Amino acid sequence: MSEGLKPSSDLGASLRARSNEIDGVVGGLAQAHPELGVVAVGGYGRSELCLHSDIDLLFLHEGQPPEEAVRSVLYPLWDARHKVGHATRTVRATLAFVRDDLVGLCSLLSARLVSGPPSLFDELLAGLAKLLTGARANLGELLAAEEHRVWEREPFARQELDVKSGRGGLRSHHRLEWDRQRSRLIGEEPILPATSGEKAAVATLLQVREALHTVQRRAADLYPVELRSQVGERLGRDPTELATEVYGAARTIDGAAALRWGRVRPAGTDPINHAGLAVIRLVRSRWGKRELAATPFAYARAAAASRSGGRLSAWERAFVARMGPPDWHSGDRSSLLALLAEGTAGWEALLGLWEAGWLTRALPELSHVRGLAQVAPFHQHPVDAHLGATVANVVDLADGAIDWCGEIADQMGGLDEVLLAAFLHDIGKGLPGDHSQTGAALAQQLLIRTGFSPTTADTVGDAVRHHLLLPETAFRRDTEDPEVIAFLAASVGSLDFLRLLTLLSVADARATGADMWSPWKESLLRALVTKTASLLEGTVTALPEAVLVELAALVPELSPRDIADHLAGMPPEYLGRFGTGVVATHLRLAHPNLGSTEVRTAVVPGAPVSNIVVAARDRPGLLATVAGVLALHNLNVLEARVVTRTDGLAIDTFRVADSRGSDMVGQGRWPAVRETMERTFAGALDLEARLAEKRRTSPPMDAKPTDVRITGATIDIRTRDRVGLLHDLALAMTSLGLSITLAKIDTRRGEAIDVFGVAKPAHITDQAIEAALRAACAG
Amino acid sequence: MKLIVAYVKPFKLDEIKDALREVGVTGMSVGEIRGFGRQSGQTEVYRGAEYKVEFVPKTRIEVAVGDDDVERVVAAIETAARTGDIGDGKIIVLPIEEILRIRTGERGAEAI
Repeated sequence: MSEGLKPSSDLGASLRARSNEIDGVVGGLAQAHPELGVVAVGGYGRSELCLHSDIDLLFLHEGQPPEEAVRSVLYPLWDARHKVGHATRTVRATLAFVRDDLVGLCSLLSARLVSGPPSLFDELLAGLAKLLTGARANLGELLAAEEHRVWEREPFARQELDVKSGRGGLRSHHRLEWDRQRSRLIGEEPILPATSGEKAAVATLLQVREALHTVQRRAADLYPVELRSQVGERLGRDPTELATEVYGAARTIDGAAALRWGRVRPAGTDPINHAGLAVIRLVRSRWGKRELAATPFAYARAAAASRSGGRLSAWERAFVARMGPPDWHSGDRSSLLALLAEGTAGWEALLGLWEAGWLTRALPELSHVRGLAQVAPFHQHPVDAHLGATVANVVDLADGAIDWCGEIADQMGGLDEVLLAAFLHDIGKGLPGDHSQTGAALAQQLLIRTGFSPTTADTVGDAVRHHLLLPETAFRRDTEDPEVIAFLAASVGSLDFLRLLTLLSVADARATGADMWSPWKESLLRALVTKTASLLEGTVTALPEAVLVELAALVPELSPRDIADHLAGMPPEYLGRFGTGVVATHLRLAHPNLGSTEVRTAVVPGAPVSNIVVAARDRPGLLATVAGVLALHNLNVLEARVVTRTDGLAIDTFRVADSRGSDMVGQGRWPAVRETMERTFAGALDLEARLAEKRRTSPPMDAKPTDVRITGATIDIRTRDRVGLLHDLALAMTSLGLSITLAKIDTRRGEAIDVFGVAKPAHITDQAIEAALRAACAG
Repeated sequence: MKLIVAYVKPFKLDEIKDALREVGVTGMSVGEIRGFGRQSGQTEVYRGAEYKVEFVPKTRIEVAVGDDDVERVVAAIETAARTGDIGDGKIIVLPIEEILRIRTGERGAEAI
């Protein structure tokens, strides 16, 4: 075995030929001792000898140690520089030994007689069968425990795969084969017969193992990124394509292992009952019975929440494999989110759905990342496992794995969007173009298709697009430069989004590997986030020259003086909150100064979300009026940002979705909206009467409990969304004399989650405000 | 032969690498380190609560050069690393007793 095998379409045959050659040599050497049983065990027994694999031999005798005979076989093999492992025992001693030695027992399960009396070998097999129904009837549990140790060691597939002992490596396949051989020896049907997919995966790994031995000239089974080129060249394959095939093969074998060894429970507990009960419990408590039969995500969630570590039972996998794609009702979305929130176990469950073929029916946008090799050597996982590891890291961070990130997670309204962003942030890899851009479009499309709200789709899309923004700024730019901070704040636009990006960036870096996350990098990133957060919160002001230059280029019709005056009149966090693009629109509307009843509007069209900017002299009820007009035209306000200049000019920026699901500007309906707005401001239209009429004709929505919380100058409201809600809330606040300085409107699954920043007159109590707002929510 | 060790701001690494390439330096070692000099760490305010950054992240660069190249290389690093603000870092020049390239066994200036 001095030369590596040439790449061939039938490597199995080549490996068998290599073993046959050794058989010939060993048989020839043992010919003079016909009483000696020479048994090939381990890889040699399986006829799977790679270039530098050991040749393991068992010499069987009937009582008298055949030292001379054994030497006559071993010495020539050693002289020929083969690495030979051997044991010399009687059948009885062999069986006694392997009874307490799992490695020995397993190598015997691959045993093959090379030379000597068949009766001796038959006696060995008969004894082995007896052992497997007696003292070692628990072989399955022992093998499962070994596989579980691999899963613990490698919760996510590695790029530097150990093709022999790593997760989904050849050893995992061997454990399945030993289990099958056990069944055959004791006359039973194998529990999990080998599929053609598993056989093909094994062939791929064997081919790469042979190439690894050849190029390294030793029995080394690690497949690091640095060796991809050499291995690819050896096998005449594109290195990255081959790596993807190898990781895919490991996933196939791991999937089979998960199916066989995934659920190990104390004796007497029925796995199917257990899983079923978990599903029923979960479904009853959360989504109502009707979804019991309709959501594989719920099965997966149950598996993730159980002690199986997320691995589906064979029953669940078979059931899920037959199911069609989901219809993406809200239960599917919430159970996908719940599954992601399970972290590592949730990822295992997703892998189960994936290997059953269902996940790619549900989310075909993910198909191409299965086992997808990363080109950069600092990545420790292929793309699919990296997505899982990033999600798990988000969960860990929210649980406080890093103090300051835990605090950030606590300040976020929930983890849904960051979990989705983590799950999807690299789906653009493997496709043409910049992966952040491609991935953002794909993620947005996926989320809209699966019924997530346009706000969620937009936010997650933006997060995918900018998922490298924080690390690239922290590690490559001067974070002490106020301009860098101001540009970052302008790009991020809001504190909420900064928090989301921070968790995503830290989780992404931690999942990538030690090269991308160290205390050193953490301190750089933390300093950047802290400074940017301060700017967005308004605790630090900065107006760098470069921002003025950029605005001057965006609005060339205004003089730098006009721009500077506008900015000087705005609150300190203004630029950070809106970004230069939106500020440019504000500037165009605000100049020249507006008359007392004048209103100017601008729209940045989009489908399904448009941005509408309204500028007018500030007056009580301004926000309520605009919100009322938008409601009249079926425009659903997703977010309202209100800002008032020191000279009393109010600029309200609305992100709106057309509740009829169309692009209102494209449909030519914008002029009508603008006209209603102008007529209302001029007092020519009775807004309240028109809204009352509209409410009467709108279908009632599901009741949701109303929650109003007042903390200082901030009011948080959660209630059911309905026609004109924002108008009614704004009106209620105005009539109490409250001045609204900020409004953040969010609508999720029919629930409005609104935050208002207000200035309160001294004589109004929080109780009075709460009562008025509750009444407004009730309509 | 001299070993030039520079402690610089992390974001300056790419610029320094380009500057060194321009003066003919083809190899260098880079490390992530943390420390403080006159900069004495920083205090950041996050959500109203101060937290102290005891050590500031810096990048350490090591370049071995022949005696004739020292001034040029030091000047290249100095120019590329300077922002004019506190915390720009330090450059230290140390004598080298011997260099040996492991692969070929070459010694001295040949091994640089």
